Amino acid sequence: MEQPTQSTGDESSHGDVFDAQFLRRLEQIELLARRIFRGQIRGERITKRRGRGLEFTDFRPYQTGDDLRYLDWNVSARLDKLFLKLFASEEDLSLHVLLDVSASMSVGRPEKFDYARRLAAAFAYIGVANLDRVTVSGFDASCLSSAAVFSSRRHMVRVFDTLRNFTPRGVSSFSQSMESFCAMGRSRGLVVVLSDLLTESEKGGRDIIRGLDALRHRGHEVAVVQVLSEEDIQPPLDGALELIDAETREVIRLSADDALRQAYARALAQYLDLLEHQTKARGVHYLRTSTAISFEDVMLKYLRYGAAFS
Amino acid sequence: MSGFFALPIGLIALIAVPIIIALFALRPTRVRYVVASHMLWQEALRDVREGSGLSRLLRNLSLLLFLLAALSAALALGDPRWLGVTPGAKDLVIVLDISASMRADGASDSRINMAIAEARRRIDALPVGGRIAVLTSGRYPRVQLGLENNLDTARGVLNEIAATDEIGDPPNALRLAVSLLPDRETGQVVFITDGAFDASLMDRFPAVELALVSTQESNNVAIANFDVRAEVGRDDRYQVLVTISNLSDSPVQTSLDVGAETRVLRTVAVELTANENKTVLLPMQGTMPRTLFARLDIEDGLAADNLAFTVPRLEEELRVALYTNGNFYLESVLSALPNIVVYKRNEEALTKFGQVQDAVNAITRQDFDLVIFDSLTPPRLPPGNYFFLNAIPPVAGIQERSTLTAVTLTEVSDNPLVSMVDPNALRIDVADSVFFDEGAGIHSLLKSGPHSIAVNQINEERRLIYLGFDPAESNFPLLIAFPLFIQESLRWLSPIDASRQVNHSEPGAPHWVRLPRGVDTVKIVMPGGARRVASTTTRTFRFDETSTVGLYRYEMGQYRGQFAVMLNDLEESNLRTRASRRSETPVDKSKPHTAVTETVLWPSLAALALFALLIEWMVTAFRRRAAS
Repeated sequence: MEQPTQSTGDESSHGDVFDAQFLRRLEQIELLARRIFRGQIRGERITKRRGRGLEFTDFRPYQTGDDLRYLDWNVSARLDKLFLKLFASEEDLSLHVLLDVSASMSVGRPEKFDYARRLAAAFAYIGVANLDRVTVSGFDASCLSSAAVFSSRRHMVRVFDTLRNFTPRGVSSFSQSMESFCAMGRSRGLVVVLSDLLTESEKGGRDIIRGLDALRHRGHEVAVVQVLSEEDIQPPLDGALELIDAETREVIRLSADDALRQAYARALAQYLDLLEHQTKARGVHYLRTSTAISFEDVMLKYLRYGAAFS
Repeated sequence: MSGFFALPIGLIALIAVPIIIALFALRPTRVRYVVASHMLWQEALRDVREGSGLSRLLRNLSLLLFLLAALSAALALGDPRWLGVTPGAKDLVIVLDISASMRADGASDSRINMAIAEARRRIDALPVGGRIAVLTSGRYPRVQLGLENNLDTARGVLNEIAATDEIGDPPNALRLAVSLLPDRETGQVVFITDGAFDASLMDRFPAVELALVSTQESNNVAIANFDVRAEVGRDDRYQVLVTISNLSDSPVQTSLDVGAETRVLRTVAVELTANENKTVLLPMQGTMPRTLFARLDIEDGLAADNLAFTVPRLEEELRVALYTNGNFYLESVLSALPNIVVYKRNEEALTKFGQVQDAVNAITRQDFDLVIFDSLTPPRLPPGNYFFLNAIPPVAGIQERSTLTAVTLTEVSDNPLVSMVDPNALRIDVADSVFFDEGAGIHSLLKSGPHSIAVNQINEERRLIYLGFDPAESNFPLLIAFPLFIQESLRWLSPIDASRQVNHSEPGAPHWVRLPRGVDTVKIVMPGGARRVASTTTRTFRFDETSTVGLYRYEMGQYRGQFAVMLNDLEESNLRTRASRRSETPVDKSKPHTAVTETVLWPSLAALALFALLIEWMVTAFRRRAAS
């Protein structure tokens, strides 16, 4: 007997995830975001790359072929050596929102997928509001669809439509999806991954890390928001059960008791610790949330977090 | 031991067991649940499954406890009773005759093989719980297996048993067998034999069952006696005596070979009537060989008594060194004693060659068997055998005490050396008494009051006799005791002579070998060629492996000798079955003795069921509390 909480992924059965109330909350988030990023205008976001910007960052010895316009004659006269002035590169930010659309995202009440879609819309809205270039993509076994580019607030309706069209299904392969995304040659920027990171791969943690490494090696800054449902965190299971995997439909027969629930809690904690440790070691912004937490709180937390790193 | 149910209908309650299992199996189907964290559940499940066995057990503990309770209750309803039976349904002691006659052929096989087969049948027929002991009856009884429950062990012991050339001694074996039974009411002794022994022997053992393996008549001719003797006054001639017995009811013609080592010296034809004994006297030319054999050329029931050996005892001379300035009486006695060669030396010779060196050479070169010092004292003594006559021995433990005159004996030891001395008849004019240390192995032989005038000493290094007066100054030479005293003294002092070993033994009887001084290893070659090497710290060695007739050769240092093991027993050579069959009046011991004790078990089982339910309730309560 299958649980009635099983999500079909069709938002029509649950109403529009981007209803008027959501849009109002999105406005509030945008206002809060402006407060956090006050004083920053387009083209002023400083990247770690050095280039032809205006802000001086460092010197380096002159090498053949360097542009003589950037020689610092004062320093060269003092030290009797040629030195080149270096400036920080200033460029537009590309925001890539990657939404996990595998079947595992349909599990939970409320569905992780709806929750994640709202978060994706919020990230896109804030990005567009800041005049960044925003792409929104969904991924399961491969990066699949609707990698549309939006750069204006009037494109938000298309963003919502794109997100509405995503349906949670299929098997996720995180690393394969990320490698596919990288292969598309998107401009370097900030990649926000929204997923439950519950992959069926035997070495789940390694698969995630390999995918994140692929993004990093492509030059993206990476932020991961792991969305879990309460059913994932504290499964209300007891007695004789048949557990069906949402993606592979594989079945486990077991008798859930305290010992098994405790063992599950230990396994989940170990897995989350692994993800946190590995992402931290790679400079990946990692944020874990539950569908029980309002998405506004998550966004504010992320914006503060992101501001500190910008 | 066994049990039964007084109310078997109660066992219908056992139907509860499959019902419980069915109810567990038919519980509602599993709830299906879709999860995203499938891999984490697999890991958790693996973790739990790899947990302790106790954990796995606890998961199904309720079921196990319910089953235990149901099973116990059902069995309790059946009112089970436990029958306790006294241990040892039957103890059986098998006595197997392995004497020489068992080598003879029986009706279908050799008698010993038939006996072993009978023993196997007895073991196979032993009731469950019975114990078995196996003895063999030869020259001596031997316990091959004590009372044992493991019948396979008993069968294995039987495989190792074979007949010997020994003379049987059934009474000894049967006495030992009966003594092995802890309870004669529940035990049985079976003597498996060919019955070739005196029928009256079994009358002493009415409780012993006699199992005769063969009553078939078997003809046998045996050498009953074999001896050799020297002809008086002729060193180049000797006589061989062979006694031959025909132990059958028909006349026999055969030939007799007499030889030395492997060479046949004489062959004579022998003709015997039924049951006749005949002694053949064969005069032989030449020096008497060291070993002789006699052999009957006949195919009969028993081969062991068709061959006999003898090892003639050769008298060897006793070599005596006598240091004296002249002693008529002593020299006269020594010259009169047989097989004694005296090498006389005077005081000058002792002085010339050095007292100590001469004595040492005498002993170590084994030129002399013993040394007599007559009124002469060497400065000290090396190990050896000494007779001191009217001279104080220079040994620790003996000191001169005083010179006595007109000595009257007051005490004569019961030592055989002086047992013939009559204290009332002996008159001594002058004697030297000695102090001695009893801890040094010295004993007084003759005493006059508190004074010892004759002592002897024996220890690992030395044998010594001291006589503290000159025979010429007493009437001792006039008494018959004097030559006897000298003869006994020389015999006692003479070294253990390997040539005087006992040369003949019965099969199975231990043979004692006396070792020469300084030798502690004996090498023995048995008739079949097998060799045995043994060491001993004593002067005698006991050899037990004499169950086969033949010539046994041994080597002790430089000395080589032999002894013969011969059957020479007409009672054993007589293969006729003489013992009466007792099976017509068997003593029925076959019923196993049992004392049944009945124990009611349902209260214990009911208590167990209640206990299981109580434990289940506690486990459930504990789980609920933990869950909350």
